[in-house]
Amino acid sequence: MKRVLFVWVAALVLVALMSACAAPTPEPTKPAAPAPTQPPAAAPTTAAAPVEIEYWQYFYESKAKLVDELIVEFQKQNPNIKVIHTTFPYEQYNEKVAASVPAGRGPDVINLYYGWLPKYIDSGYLAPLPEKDFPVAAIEKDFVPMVQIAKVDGKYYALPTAVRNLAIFYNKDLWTKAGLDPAKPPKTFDELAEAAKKLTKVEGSKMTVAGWRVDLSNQDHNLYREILVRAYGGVPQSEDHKKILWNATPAGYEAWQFLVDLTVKHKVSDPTIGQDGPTAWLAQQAAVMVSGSFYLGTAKSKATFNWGVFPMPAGPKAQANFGSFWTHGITTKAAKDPAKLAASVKFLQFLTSAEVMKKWTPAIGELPARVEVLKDPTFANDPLLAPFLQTLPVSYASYFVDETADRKALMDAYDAVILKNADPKKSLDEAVQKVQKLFDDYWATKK
Amino acid sequence: MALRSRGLTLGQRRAMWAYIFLLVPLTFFITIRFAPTLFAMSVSLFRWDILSPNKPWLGLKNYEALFADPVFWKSLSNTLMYVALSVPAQLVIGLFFALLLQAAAHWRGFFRALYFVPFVTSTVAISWVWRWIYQPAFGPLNKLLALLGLPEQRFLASPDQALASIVVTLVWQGLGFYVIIFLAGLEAIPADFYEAAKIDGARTWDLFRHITLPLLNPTIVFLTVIGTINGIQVFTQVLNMSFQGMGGPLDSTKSLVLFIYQEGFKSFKMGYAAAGTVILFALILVITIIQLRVTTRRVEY
Repeated sequence: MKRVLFVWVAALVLVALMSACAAPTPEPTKPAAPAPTQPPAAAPTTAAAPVEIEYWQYFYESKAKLVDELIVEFQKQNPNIKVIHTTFPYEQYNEKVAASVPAGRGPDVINLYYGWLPKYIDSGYLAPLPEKDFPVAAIEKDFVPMVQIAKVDGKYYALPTAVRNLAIFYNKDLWTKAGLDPAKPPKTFDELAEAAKKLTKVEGSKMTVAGWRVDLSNQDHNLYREILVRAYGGVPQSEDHKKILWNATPAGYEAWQFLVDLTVKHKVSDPTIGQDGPTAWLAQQAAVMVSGSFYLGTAKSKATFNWGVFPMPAGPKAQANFGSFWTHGITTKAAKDPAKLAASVKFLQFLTSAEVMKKWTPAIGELPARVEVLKDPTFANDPLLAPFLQTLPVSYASYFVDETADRKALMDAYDAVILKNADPKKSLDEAVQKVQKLFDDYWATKK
Repeated sequence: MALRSRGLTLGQRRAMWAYIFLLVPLTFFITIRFAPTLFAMSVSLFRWDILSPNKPWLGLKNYEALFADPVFWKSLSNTLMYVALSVPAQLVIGLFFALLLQAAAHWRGFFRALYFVPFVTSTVAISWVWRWIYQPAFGPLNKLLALLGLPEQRFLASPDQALASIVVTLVWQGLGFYVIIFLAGLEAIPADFYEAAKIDGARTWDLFRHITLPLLNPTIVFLTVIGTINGIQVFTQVLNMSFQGMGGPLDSTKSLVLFIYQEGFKSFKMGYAAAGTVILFALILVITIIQLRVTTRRVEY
């Protein structure tokens, strides 16, 4: 008996040893499991060790896939660098990054939403991009102007591959059914509201199809802050980003009233339609949706109906759009190690090169961040990209101090009006108060 | 006369071994429980945004800001509502089912297991299934209401109904635990008391009021204390049943623990969140002490 046991144990040990030795180098991707995964510890490598750098990104299916392919290409061009790619679900991304800091772990190159940059730069998490590899003058000449909102104290801390702005996604089938011409989309917000009224379907007392399912948790808070306020003739913030000006002029109130009226007066939206805006649109329960070029990939693969995109409409006083971008930075952790810093710089240069941008746009739908690539006729003539490109020159990026809280202030203000019959003016004032406090607290700590 | 050797007495030696064995869990508790608690209390006196190594001293300013924050007070009142609604409901319904189960002659084991299943099921899974049940547009509950000719409700989408909706889930899931504990308590009551009382002509209600309830007192105290402590810390159900886990709509479901979690891990205000945990700790301590003082009565016959 003992002998049999010994043989089994020995066999198991042998198998274990063999599998450890024969294990291929770890996969470049660690796709996000339903529960957030821990980033892999840097595996010990063989002699003539390639420099290993970690790249973190939030999980977006098309982006994760493309980055894996790009990493394979990058590693071919730079055989002495290995990139480990880790992704996390969007809701937990911020937490994961923050929790890694006191633990002393974390990535070398990190993908961050531009709105989070002030917080990360202030806490010393990101290292400024080395001037010799990323000259400021070159950045300002080669990249679209909205990138400059990430400049702090004359230095750039991060650079994007692609930028996005918003447009209106519409369900062409529902349009034709409502008797509207899909080839002649609305050009102003008032025209859009009128179209939405025709597109809304009600059965008895229940709405079955919303003309425009307003969803402030998605992009409609950006729609208000950067687009509607300007469309009605106002500006959202003071030049120095210290004062919130949504309710400083009647323009802001009118813009808010427009958004509120969609649910309250025109009744083209109902919060019980679908889980959120995009889900409702995909399920054909909403005819129109405000979303970004990043959604093109998802729409192409998941929409089962005829759909299209038309440019952001203009308001009574102006046409504006909201621009945003996810951007790559180098962490101070990487900057401390000269080998990792050099590798990270190479990777960042690769990610922000024109070749990568030309691949990124068709696969993801985000627009190239370099001006020269924007002018490429393949993009300008693409019927799905053209509506976004058209309004790129008037696309503004908002300055965020705490994007989650900023968004929540507007969400709560809207809910207060539609769920609790609050006065729209008062609810907007309260939202401004909350966000102003965020900004005041932020600037107070910068002294 | 005790046998005295040079060293310890037998009794002392046994006690020494007891202390040595107790040292292991004590070390565990000190490092895993007490030390982090003290650390959290100290963090509440600083401003720490987790990303930076700087932790400027704030003294009691976090607490001042906390007491001035309307969202904190809303979370506190929501939490007390969760407790006030769920604990009595679980006590009453749990006792009711336990009495029925005790009277059941057949299949008692099967029913016991059935009632206990929700308690051992994943809270997250249960929360999401109930969330689907409550869906205003296509959930079965609204379909049922429509079938009965009643108006459809918004449940989790309404700031007035969301909290109560979550309480239903809390009660449904926690019931099994209460039923089991009550069953154990009921079986500990000697049958002689009932027989003696019946001979004296007591009716069912008298039996319940004068024998069952008083002798169940320790069980009721235990369940009330445990239920309150768990109720004050409600988190998982709120996170999974409110839109994007934000405790909405309009903060109507946000519990204290969810508030602390968001301030700490979404807004990165670690000191502020730690101050919240200290308040939570003090709250649970005070309520537990009050409960123990008021409800513990020794009953003997």
